[in-house]
Amino acid sequence: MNTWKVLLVDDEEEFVTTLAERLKLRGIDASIATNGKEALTRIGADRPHVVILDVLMPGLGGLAVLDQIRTKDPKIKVILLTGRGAVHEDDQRLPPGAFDYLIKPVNIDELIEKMRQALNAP
Amino acid sequence: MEPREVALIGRLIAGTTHEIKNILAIIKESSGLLQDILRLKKGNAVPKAEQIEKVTTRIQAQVARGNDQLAALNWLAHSMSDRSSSVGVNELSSGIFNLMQRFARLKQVELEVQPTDADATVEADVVRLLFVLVTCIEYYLDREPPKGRVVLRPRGSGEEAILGIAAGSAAGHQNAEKPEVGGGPLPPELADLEPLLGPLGGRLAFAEKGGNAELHLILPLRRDESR
Repeated sequence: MNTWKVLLVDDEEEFVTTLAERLKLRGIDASIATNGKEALTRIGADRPHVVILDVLMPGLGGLAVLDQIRTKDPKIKVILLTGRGAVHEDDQRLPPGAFDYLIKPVNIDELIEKMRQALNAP
Repeated sequence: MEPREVALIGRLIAGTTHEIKNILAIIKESSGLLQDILRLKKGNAVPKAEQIEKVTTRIQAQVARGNDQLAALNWLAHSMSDRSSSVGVNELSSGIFNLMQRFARLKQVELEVQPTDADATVEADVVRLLFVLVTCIEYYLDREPPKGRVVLRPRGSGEEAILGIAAGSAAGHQNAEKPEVGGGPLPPELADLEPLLGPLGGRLAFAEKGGNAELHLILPLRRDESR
């Protein structure tokens, strides 16, 4: 867990700031981005192991960011955050490039376990 | 109700409940952080008062934000259950403002209400009025660039109530010269709304004066309010 680098992406700044603080208290290197453009800049600069990505954001949305990660750096694992039961508008399937999804509000222990599964996956 | 009115109510409710989900997520993480600060502190380190204060202030702010969203939903529910009723233009504007917060945020546009000092009351089908106003506001939200501004200006004027909508530079200052009707034809998206306003005695018109342009939704005042 000490070597994990995580990027949290959500337009609700107080949410990602607080979640990052909690992850840091658990020894996880967590940084934040509050929009899609900033997320892509940080991914390019910091190369996180895992990205926790909100689906519905103003401007460049989560699914567009996911698409770019999948194209440019497919080794980065992406876990989607959504307020709805389904992550995709049309059906229940996971979008290409996403490892899994969680529904807000998240349980931090579940989030960490999901990240562990993502990092252990091939 | 017309199918498009039902669809709009659905969108407004979905937007508001999504905001409430986000609020609950912040409250959950903040309260979790307080627990973490107490449980995960190193040795006998005493938690810093400023840190606790910051987190509890955040929780209180989100509770206030959640309260506004629930008030908006409650107002919508009552409007639907008592469709033909009187409503003050300030109340109507405030309700729409709270319900459309998420819409504006997703467009990265600031939505603002400038309430009037002298409230005016109209008697109308509130759901129909809501549909017309939201459609008009969305028309502007869709056309404003990111970081733009759309302002809702309710007011009474003689025998009528006016709900003015302005965007961009025309959003200007509250004391700017009041536009007068006569600013050109309505675009097709808004002209489509006119048949809905007829039965309410209302109309839509562009207004312009001194470089300030507004879209006006004009309605007759409630009979006992005529000035």
